Amino acid sequence: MGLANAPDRFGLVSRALHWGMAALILGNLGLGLALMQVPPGLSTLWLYGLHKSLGFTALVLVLVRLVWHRLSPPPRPLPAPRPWQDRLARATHAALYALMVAVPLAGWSAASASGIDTVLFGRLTLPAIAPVSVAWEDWAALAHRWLTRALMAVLALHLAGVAARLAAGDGTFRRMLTGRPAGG
Amino acid sequence: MCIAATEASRKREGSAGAGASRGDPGQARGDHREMKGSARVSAYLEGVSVSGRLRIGVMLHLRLSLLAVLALLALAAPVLAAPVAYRLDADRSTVGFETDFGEDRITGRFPVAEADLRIDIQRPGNSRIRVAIDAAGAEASFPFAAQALKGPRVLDARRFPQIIFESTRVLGNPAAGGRIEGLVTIRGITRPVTLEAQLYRQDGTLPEDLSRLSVVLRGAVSRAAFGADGWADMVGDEVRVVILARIERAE
Ligand code: HEM
Ligand code: HEM
Repeated sequence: MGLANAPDRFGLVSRALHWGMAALILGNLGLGLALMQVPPGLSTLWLYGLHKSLGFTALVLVLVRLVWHRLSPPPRPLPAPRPWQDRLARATHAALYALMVAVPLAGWSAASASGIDTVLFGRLTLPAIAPVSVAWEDWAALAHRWLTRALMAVLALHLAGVAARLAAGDGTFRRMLTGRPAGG
Repeated sequence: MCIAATEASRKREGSAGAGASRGDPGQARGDHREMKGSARVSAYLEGVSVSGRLRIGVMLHLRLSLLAVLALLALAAPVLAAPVAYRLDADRSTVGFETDFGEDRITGRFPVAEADLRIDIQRPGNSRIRVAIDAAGAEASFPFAAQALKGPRVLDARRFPQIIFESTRVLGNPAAGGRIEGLVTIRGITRPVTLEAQLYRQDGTLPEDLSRLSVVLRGAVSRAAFGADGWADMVGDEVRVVILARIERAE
């Protein structure tokens, strides 16, 4: 039960980060979309706080994950039947990382530009990372919206890949779930 | 007779929060309005109890008493022939506001930055007032609301730190319930507004004493009319305002 990654397997830290963040990000995507539907009022204001808190947590965790993967490189995707599938898998993972950083940054910028404090978990006030300006807020909110849509598209690809590997029975899913090397 | 009426009113102050003269029918009407009015004023103030600076309890104890208009006019006529300058007691004055937020309500208040008050009790039409409200100092019933209010989508208080009200016409007699027409400037946009006005003698003053008065002004503005329409999908357009100004004759 190693914590660190090895060339053929995911250690506990990477797996915990993957699944923890997967839950966090999928949950926050749902929450973000739900926010656009709920009637505003004092009783629903806390949902915005929750969305920002979970989103910021995901941002912190992705930075931890990037650092960790520098220290302990994860295994490369298992060889797929066709080389483009390998390239696609790697490109998908790279895009997921880029979006995991960009999505919350855009959300944080939009929140900052509104001039309203971003308060996490009801206590921690984040510094502003954008000037208070309607134009900034509109742009950042638009970016946040389209980046989350891009994230959903790339995630669909990610899950399609996972499904294809599951169907092929190459052990990819199992090694992310249990840490056991494929075929081991 | 009218003096007696005010004396009676002063005796009643202890029990009726907004003790007032019941001397004549006109006053009785004013009295009714005052009851409602001060209940609303206190509601506004309670909404902003987050601000420790304002000692609301104290304010509520400083009960207002309605001026016995006719008595005052009779007494004051020789003395007050022209508008008299009054000084605002800013610490004991407040501009309360209220607007809808979904099913809920946002309340809050602004400090008064400066006030130029010239009041002619005898001929209210000669009175002129100009009040500057400190937009940047707004407080609201919850912190997000105050920040949203001061932010660029609503008051843009950094660029427009003050809201200005300037009277153009005083109608009726504020002591009995009058109206003040004027111009209000919000976000650099000036629009006409009409405020209901009530003038009261401050608690603990003698009926003929005009040196310290309380003015209650009530009105409403549309945010959209001033381009202060941020979060229009969440926050109501109409902002209802109650101003309580305690003033002292400047001498
Ligand atoms: C994993 C991170 C995040 C995800 C997946 C996410 C997802 C979403 C989604 C799907 C929406 C709805 C967008 C739309 O349909 O217009 C949304 C809205 C929003 N998010 Fe996030 N978000 C994340 C992080 C953050 C963070 C960190 C903040 C702020 C600190 C934030 C602030 C906002 C705001 C203010 C809105 C409303 C934008 C608007 O009014 O158009 N989000 N988010
Ligand atoms: C519940 C849905 C998900 C499933 C079933 C799933 C499954 C997997 C599997 C099996 C792998 C291993 C790939 C390999 O062995 O090379 C993997 C890797 C990866 N997944 Fe997911 N995933 C899910 C959600 C997500 C989400 C929401 C994200 C991020 C937004 C994500 C980001 C990644 C990344 C970046 C990798 C590459 C390995 C790493 O750097 O940790 N996954 N995923």
